[in-house]
Amino acid sequence: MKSMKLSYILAAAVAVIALFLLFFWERPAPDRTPDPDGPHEPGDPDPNPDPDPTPDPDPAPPVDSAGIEVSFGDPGDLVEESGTGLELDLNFAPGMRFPVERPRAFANSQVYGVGGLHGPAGGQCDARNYSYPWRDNFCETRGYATPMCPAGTGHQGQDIRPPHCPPAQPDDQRTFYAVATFDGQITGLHRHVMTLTDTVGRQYKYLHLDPNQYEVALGDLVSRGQRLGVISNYFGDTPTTYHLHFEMRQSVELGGAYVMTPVSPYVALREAYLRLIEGDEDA
Amino acid sequence: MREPNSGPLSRLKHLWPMIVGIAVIIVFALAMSRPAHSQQERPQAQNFSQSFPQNIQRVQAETPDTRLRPIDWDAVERDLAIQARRNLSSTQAFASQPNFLPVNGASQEDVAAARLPLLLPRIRLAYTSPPEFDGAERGLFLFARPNFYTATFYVNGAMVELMGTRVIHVRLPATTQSQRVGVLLNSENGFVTRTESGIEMSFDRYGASYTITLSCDDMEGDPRCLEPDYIQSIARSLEIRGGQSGE
Repeated sequence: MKSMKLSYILAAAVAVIALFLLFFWERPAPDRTPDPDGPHEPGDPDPNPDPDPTPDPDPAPPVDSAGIEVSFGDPGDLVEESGTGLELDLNFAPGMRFPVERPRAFANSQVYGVGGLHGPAGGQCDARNYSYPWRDNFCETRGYATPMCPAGTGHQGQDIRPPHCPPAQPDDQRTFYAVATFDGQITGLHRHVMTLTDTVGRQYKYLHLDPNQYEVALGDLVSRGQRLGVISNYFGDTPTTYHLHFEMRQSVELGGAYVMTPVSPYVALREAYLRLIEGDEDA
Repeated sequence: MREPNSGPLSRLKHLWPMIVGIAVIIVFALAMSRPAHSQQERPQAQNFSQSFPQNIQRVQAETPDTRLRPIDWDAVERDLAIQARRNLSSTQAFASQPNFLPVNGASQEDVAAARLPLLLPRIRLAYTSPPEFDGAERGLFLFARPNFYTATFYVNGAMVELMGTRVIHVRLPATTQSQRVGVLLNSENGFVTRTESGIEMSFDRYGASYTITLSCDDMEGDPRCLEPDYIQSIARSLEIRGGQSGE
């Protein structure tokens, strides 16, 4: 009888303590910071179950104008055996308008792509050249002195293939327009080479535009997104692949040295492209 | 022989009120428990474009057009004096000397507003459009802004672009690249390299950066785009044609 009484007293004490904890002890919020151990496997139990059973809608993956999901290689991740890229995730031109008018383009290597001089066998219109992910090719192996490249030499821009390859109908040219990245002035125009200087002194070079289809002239003031010309395969007497060679040149202070030089356009292009395909630009 | 009430089950019999009490409290607590964060505090779905990249540390670009290189105007004055003695003229006679190219595109006000030395070439046979075009006129196009300028002209079979700037668009820490740039820029003849569209030369003078770019009709056969001699001759012909301290 005595032990029964003791049990009731203990039960009451536990109940009081539990009630106290219930009302005055707030559970810690679930930790939303990334798990340093990396992502959990699908079968792992969720360590912080969401009390709300309604799942958040996943962000829709970005797709281009053909409905194809886009993806991107990392900055500096060049095609294997094509040189040492610049692994710098720096947008040198925030807010830039993507230099191709239509929301479908493919940044990758011409020389090391399918059908290229050092690429797999095939033609320039091989589907692998017109697919994602994008590949950076700034600093790809070339003999041009390029101070920003780890090797000191390399490709000075990014090659971008147009929406499709090549124009099968004359009307296809309408999808090949290159446009102004920023407000500025056309300060160079010769054969297939065009230079746009923006209002803060950065320069953008557009190569392989069709000399017979320019929409602007030397000295013209242009607006961001304005048509400049048509992307072609023009390269003097020897045609190249259909692509836009796009360069960004800026004055860079590297330690104590100061030089106007090509900088990597890859991150600026990637972010501009995402804005374009998400409808944040006038297509 | 064991007594009937001395086994484990008989001992639990005395504890059942406490076990039931704990169970009731636990069930009650679970039913009444609430999340520590409100619905509004729940993280929103991330914008997909903000999720790139995941593996490389982001470096923020500094705002352009806010930092300028200082110009050594004392050195400019010294060179102007030498130039004036040599030419028996001065920058006050801008665009009036027969050996200077006529300037299109920029007004005298644009030139006066320049806050860096405007270096322009002293070349006679240069044109504002390819010389084979009808109506090609002798001269150059000048696009002048306070802290940078470009000058463009055509010679037979090639286009020449000159860019001068004192704007710092991006500042990066010292690396092997900076050492390389420093060595290249301080070399006697400047920094000359071939490019995909021709050949170019870069050099520092008075604190500003200058670049001459040459694009040839025949990039693979025109020696002007293959060897440094021609572009270096343009650099040697540069003279101070405008710009003043305004700081």
